[in-house]
Amino acid sequence: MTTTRREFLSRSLGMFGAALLAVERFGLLNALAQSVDYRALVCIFLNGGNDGGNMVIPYDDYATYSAARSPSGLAIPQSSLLRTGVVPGVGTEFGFHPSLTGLHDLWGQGRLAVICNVGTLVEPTNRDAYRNRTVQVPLNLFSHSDQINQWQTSVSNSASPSGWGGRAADKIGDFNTTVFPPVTSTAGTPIFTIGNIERPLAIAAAPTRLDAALRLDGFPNPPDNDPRYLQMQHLLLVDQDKTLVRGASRVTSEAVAMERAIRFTGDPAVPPFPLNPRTSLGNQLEQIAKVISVRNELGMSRQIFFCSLGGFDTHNGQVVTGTPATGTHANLLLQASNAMKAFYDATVLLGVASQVTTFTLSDFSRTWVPNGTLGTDHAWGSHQFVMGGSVLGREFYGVPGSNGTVFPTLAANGPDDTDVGGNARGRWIPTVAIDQYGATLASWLGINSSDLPAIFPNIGRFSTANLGFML
Amino acid sequence: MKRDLLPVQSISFLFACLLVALSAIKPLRANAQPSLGANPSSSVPGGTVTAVWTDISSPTVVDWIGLYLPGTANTAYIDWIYVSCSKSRGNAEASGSCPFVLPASLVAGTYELRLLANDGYADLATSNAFTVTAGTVATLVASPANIFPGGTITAAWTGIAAPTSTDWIGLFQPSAADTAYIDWIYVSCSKSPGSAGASRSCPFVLPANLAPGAYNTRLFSNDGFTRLATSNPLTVSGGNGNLVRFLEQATFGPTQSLIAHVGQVGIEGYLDAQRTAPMMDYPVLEFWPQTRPATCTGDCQRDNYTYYQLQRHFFTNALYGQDQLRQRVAFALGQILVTSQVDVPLPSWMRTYQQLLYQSAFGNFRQLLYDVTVNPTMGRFLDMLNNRCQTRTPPNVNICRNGLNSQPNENYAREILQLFSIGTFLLNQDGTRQLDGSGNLIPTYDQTIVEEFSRVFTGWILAPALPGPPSIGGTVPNYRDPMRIRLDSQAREDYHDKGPKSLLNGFQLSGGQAQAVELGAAIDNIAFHSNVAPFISKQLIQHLVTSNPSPTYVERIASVFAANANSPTQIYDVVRAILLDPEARGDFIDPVTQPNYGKLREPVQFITNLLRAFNANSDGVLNSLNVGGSAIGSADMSQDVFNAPSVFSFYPPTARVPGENALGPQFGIFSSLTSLRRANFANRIIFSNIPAAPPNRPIGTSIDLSSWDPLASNADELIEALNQLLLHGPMSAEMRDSVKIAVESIPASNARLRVRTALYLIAASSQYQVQR
Repeated sequence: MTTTRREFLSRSLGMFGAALLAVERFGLLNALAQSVDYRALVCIFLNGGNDGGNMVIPYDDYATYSAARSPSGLAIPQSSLLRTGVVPGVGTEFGFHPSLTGLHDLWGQGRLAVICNVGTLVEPTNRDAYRNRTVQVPLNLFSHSDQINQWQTSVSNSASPSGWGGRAADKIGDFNTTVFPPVTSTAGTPIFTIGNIERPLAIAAAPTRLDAALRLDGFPNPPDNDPRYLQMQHLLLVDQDKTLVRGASRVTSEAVAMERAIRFTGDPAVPPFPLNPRTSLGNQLEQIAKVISVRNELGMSRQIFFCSLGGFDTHNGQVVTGTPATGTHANLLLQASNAMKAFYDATVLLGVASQVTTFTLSDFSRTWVPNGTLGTDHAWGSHQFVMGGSVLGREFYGVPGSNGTVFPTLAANGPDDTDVGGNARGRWIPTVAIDQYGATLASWLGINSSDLPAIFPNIGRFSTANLGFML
Repeated sequence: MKRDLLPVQSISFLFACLLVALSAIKPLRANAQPSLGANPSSSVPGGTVTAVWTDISSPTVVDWIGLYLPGTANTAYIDWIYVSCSKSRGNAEASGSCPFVLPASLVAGTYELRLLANDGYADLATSNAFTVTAGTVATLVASPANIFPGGTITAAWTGIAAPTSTDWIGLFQPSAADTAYIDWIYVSCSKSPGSAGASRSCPFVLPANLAPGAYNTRLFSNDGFTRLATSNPLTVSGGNGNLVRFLEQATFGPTQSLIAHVGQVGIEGYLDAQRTAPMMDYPVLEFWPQTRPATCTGDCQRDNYTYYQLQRHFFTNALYGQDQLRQRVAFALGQILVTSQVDVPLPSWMRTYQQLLYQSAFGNFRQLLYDVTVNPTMGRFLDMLNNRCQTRTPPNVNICRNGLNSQPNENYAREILQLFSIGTFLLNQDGTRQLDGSGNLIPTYDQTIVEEFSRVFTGWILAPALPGPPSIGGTVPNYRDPMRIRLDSQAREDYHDKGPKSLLNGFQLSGGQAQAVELGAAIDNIAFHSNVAPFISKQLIQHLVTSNPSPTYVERIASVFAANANSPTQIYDVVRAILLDPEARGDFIDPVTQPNYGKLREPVQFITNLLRAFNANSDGVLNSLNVGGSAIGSADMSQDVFNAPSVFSFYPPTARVPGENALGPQFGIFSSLTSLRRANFANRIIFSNIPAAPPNRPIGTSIDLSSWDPLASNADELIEALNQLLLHGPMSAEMRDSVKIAVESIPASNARLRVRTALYLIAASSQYQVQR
């Protein structure tokens, strides 16, 4: 009899030792028929607030862009932009930041889409409603910690104890015939990964071998007859009356059990990884590709992955004086693009390109009007990338706004700006809620529409729960 | 009436038939008549009489006992219970006894109990009569129930019917005779008689030499041995528990010698001395050019372009420094007022900031906020450095003489408000959030205020360049001295926005003022906002003592913070109050009994506590460590010292304990990956060592367990000694048993392996990861 994930979670705290689970886990390895029904979401969080304004740039209407960003030295030269061709849904041409060669390649292949002006919302909001507060607006706009939480929880009007990735995992856990956690992270345990039931497995990124991505030192192999090993596990079950001890034991019990599972995976190669040179995001996506490569051995049909890249809080030195296509932001976008492209190529070689969808999130976008230190400050709605074989690529998606298209009106003190007056900075009010963006992805993963409100509590307030960018 | 007979009866009937059938196979006592007794024969309202019955011939689960005035009908019961001893059904009982609690409102008089069958009114037996006299039963409650020798319990009594001034309270071992008291006080709360009191409470100081174990207190009448009441049991924990816990909170870990020292000078004596203990420094690092000269390689590169020396000295100071409290507070402050290597590449620059935190750890918070604001490292990290006013259209040199097209950078303005001082929502003084009339949270500031402050924070540049290192020459940026005001060739403050500004609480800067005056006024405006006291106090409590302080704890500390707002030793005073507070010391409520008490040790604390407990010999290379292919340094556990991912530090103060409705900030970096790395650090240091690997790990790190070997032959003694040192006493019986099984699986002849096994199991346990 196999143990379901749900049973594991309910038992692991009480009468069920991790040793026993590990044995069961070992018994499951290699014992499962190959699952053809596999889908995975891969979340890439761009920490710090990515400047969407310098990532997706109007090509036809370059003058508007240049007027806002040239005086501060931030405008990327038109000649260097990676052209999109006329975007069908908008009717004009755009250009990607010149660092995004890998993603531009995928755009050309129809494997990459842009979600425009997406952000945290409590309910649909326009400039008048925002200025007059006739709608509820997200708590603590422009604050990193709050906006990160809201992107990851899809709840902008209160503090949520769980994230939408974790809550989606709560619903997909039963697809999997295994106790292996549906959420795996190479970047700790941010709230995105935490469900009401589910907890994420955090593992080390490459170049750590996959079979050592969790490791417990100092015991014989197998350790099952070692008294110290047995008592270490037993200690995780006692003193459950103390809240913090209970919480720590919960995390460690799962770690000890899954360390046993992951030991037998070896260290599969996932070309074209490793990247040369290695990068932080490349190492994370490489390890995620390895986990995907052993999905059948682990018994996984549905998975959610989380990784992140920091440094996007470019208040200062976002570009190099005089060569605005270089500098901090260009380097970050280059790292993201190269790692994402390699990851897509790896999924092609693994035969799962259409079963893995990768998407970006970030705290917020940055002010359309830069500051005086070659940088930009905190804003709101931004653009995000979605990548994969099931993405209806080469298109911009969203909800049409003030100008009738999904792309915002690029005018400080204009119809999409929170700010008014001559000092307005251009902080776009989102036309798409993170709820809608996430619900489209979750639906593709296999979440029933009836389950969406449990994952995205405010989804009913918005025009559609499916933005149409997935097959 | 609450006894609804009909439906119950029919079910009872079926049940009774079943019981009769079952009873047929049991031997029955022939012809015995049911009996019922009630004793004692006198009681009081609210008191208890015991009902004892025998020989119900056909017992049912709904046989019941009623309280009656003699002579009244069976339907006229005053109160009742089933033979289960409660109003819930239990088992059928042919014979048994139950405590029958008399109603507190019972009037004095004579009463009896009756035994009745099967939820009906057929009586099986009637008890002896008993009298109820007016008055109440005396009670005695001793709290906390878990305490250390020398601690103070509160003994609270009620209901002495005839109080005298010589009623007294004694301390006893539970099985001791009433004459064998250990210590005592009169109800005056001292050994001199004072006034009588029917209901009151006294502090009762336990003898300092009291042996660990179980005790109770008892209340006696009038200098005699007529016992009026007995308290709940008390558990007195091992001798140094309170001191060890204090040192976990106030230092980077208790050492054997420090425990003995604080035992002599006392907690307050130690705090007094810490205030003036000589300050450890970070190593003096030369200021080098921002871009590394090609000639600077090897040790030069390591020492001047990486954080190696800083991080190493952080650990050696923590392991061996005498100024433990200052360091611990500086480490906490450094996680609230954050700078990070992320945007501070040179260690000499970070040293300036960390020295400031050492120097300010016992100082005034407003002064600290000012000093941090003009510190060049912070200036660089959050972009106040070189921040300039915006040239207006048309230009107005009286507002902005030499500005830019763009507006001032908002970074420092936002984070000083959100993270360093007041937070995003208005707070009550107890740290809870204020609500408006509609029940909504009240923002402390809005985007406009951020923009106004961003204009205040304009016009600051680095102090004049310093000479470069002798081997290089030239000049290098000055990250040693506070930032200075930018002046043009005619000594005008040409980068500063001189326009009027509207700050917190409607405070106005009129404009045209000198840059330094504006900055001072703006820092005052922030530092004396009413949110600062609860916002900073609560975080300091969370860093030192417990993740979930009670609102009253926060309020007590916030009041110390506010009362000392102009004191040059404000932060010391606050920290002292935090550590002496009853909630930290357990005077009111024993922390051991509080499920949410304590904090997950952060990685640095986990490492230093373990090493200090066993007198480690260490070179301090503990931040980033890969030993035998295993990553076991604090950075590998997600606490990269001086290199937090952002100004939001290593973990958010709002992180929760996994699966629990309780705060646990440090759980933000406690994952499957890092929890095993903690265990692997314990494994490495306990079963072998971190070997020397020159030049960057000159001596490595090791602990000496030889003094523990003699304890190993007796597993109980070994475990208890580790319990006292690492868990300050309250190890549960289950944990003790578990460790003992592993220890006793090893022959006593292998003493060291026994010590290592016990120590590993404790050090790697969740019980040790959580500082309680």
